[in-house]
Amino acid sequence: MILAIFFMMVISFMAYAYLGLVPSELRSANRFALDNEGSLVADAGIQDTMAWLRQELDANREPFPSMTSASYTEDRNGTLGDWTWRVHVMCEAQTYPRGGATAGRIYFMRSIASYQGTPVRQVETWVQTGESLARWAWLLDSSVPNLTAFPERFEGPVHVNGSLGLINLTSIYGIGGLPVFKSGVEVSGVNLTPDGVSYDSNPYDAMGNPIPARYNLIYQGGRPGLSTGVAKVEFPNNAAPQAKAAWNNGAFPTTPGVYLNQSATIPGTLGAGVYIVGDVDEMVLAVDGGNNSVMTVTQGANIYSVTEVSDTAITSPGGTVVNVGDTLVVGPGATETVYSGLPNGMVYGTGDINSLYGTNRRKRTIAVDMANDKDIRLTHNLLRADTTPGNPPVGTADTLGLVAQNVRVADFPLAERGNMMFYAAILAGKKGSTGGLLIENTSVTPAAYFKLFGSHVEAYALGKGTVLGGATSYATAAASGYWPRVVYDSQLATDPPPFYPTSGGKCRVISWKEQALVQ
Amino acid sequence: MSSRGFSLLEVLFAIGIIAVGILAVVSAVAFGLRGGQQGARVTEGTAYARRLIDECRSRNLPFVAPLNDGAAARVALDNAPFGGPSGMPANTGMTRNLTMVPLKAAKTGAADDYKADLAEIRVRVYWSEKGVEKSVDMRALHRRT
Repeated sequence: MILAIFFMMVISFMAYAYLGLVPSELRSANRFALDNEGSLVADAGIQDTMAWLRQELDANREPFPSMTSASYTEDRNGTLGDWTWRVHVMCEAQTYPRGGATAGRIYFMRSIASYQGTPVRQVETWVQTGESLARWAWLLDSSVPNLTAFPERFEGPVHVNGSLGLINLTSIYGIGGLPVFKSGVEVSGVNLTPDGVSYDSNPYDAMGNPIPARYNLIYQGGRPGLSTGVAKVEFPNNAAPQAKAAWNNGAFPTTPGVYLNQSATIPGTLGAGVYIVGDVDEMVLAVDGGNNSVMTVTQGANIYSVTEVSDTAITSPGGTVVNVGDTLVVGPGATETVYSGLPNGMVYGTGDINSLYGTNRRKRTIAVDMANDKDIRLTHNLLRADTTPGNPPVGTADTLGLVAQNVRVADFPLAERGNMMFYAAILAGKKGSTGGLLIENTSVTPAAYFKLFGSHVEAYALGKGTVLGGATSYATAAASGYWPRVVYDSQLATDPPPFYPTSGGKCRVISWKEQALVQ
Repeated sequence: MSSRGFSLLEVLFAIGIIAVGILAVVSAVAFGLRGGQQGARVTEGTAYARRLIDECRSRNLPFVAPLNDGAAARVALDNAPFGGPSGMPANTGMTRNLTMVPLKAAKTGAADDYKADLAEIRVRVYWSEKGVEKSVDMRALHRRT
């Protein structure tokens, strides 16, 4: 009897303990669900704020116009079901409002999700807007219904503002290997297909379910590597900001020639870049023996040379010593002018640049009057001083950007076709136009490839040549024309050429921290 | 010293006491198992709901091919477009109900136009316990990126 009572007590105690444990398991499951809901609600606040911020910035309404402005803040509120969110947003005081020389402005957001008045989850994030368009390996402002997936290869991020259609996929599925797009692909236009892209051989089954083996050969990471229906990346309508950066203040010159503007506040000191009026017959970029940049501009009988004395002092042809940090301009008739200071890297031309080649030294953007359909024509290789020709860039000291309605690749001398290379971030074509990276002679044979070390932004995808049907090797696929092989330079995303166009209010998350608030 | 055994009454009484104890344990175990099962289902349902939301967002479905199951619909988790080898698992014993609603149908030039680039995704995942329908309900805001 006593034993029975003893064991009953032991058993009852165990049952009690067990009963105490069981609800905590259910509680933790419910807590898991609550935490997940809170996470999504806090995220909702961030998404709402990013959409609002983009709208304001695209309409040129900078919500935080000051640079020193931790005091410029905004609070936003909203609901999602039974939950509420509250977002505190402010700008990063060390980044410029839009329009500065440096691409990108950073904003901080803190979002708190609350359930029945109790804070549950918090997200802190930093987002960047006004990113340089040079961050894309390929950015296209129009639709491309029949992009030949072979032999094209894309090594960096790709964005298409129109819709995308891929053809020649049978070759891809048959050959295997690395995906066509080696980084993420965003497409703004949507075809009426399960994933928004059209294919000549579908990577999904009849029900629309993805076939991973096929997707993996098209997109890096398979199906998740593709995003369709995303917001467009705005293209510039003109190169007016670049013109302003090159001249800075006062009325623009109108007589053909090469001009450097003095600072409005410190006479004798350079206040901007290089402004060129009229068509340019030839622009040659070079480096002198002292590692200084020498740009030679030919306009008819007039020849100008601009030497940026950045590394080693020089003596001008007229015998003047030009110190490091100054700029020497030699114009027609051997006229010499020495400016205190170095140009800001912006070179702007009101006319066509009919021949551009050479080796670039110092960060630079060369732009022409895109609004009036002015072009830049590449006639020989375009290299950079800090990089061995043929190698990927290892720094950003000598980055070059080109901005024009068309960037034209001329017929290269036969001897140079085997080793064509351009080191540049190229933007060709104003918004909604048919400008692009243009091969002047798409019938040229033997066909050749040119390597573009940088990025490739164009309004319209122009034909580059013809492709051999049934080719199984990248090296033999082109039958005529010059095919670009873009060797993406990821450094351009964070350190682009000066005054290179940016993406406006489009936001990108650069940091994300999330934590539970209920203890 | 004489010894005597337990009377029948004593034995029956002892058995009764032990039986009560054992019953308590058995019912506690049953309750525990049920609670554990419930917890597991809630966790599982939450994970599926979250995964469905992530799939919808990563594919930008609200702006590409919005899905709206009817209000009373209970659809298998792996129904298109979430099936296939890398899709949602089949035969989970759970069903879904999914809606995607833009916060604003079109831009009108108003200050809240940005809402046209936002859509609410609502996912409910259902399962049955002893004939009673249980569910988890999750919502997210998707931005046209």
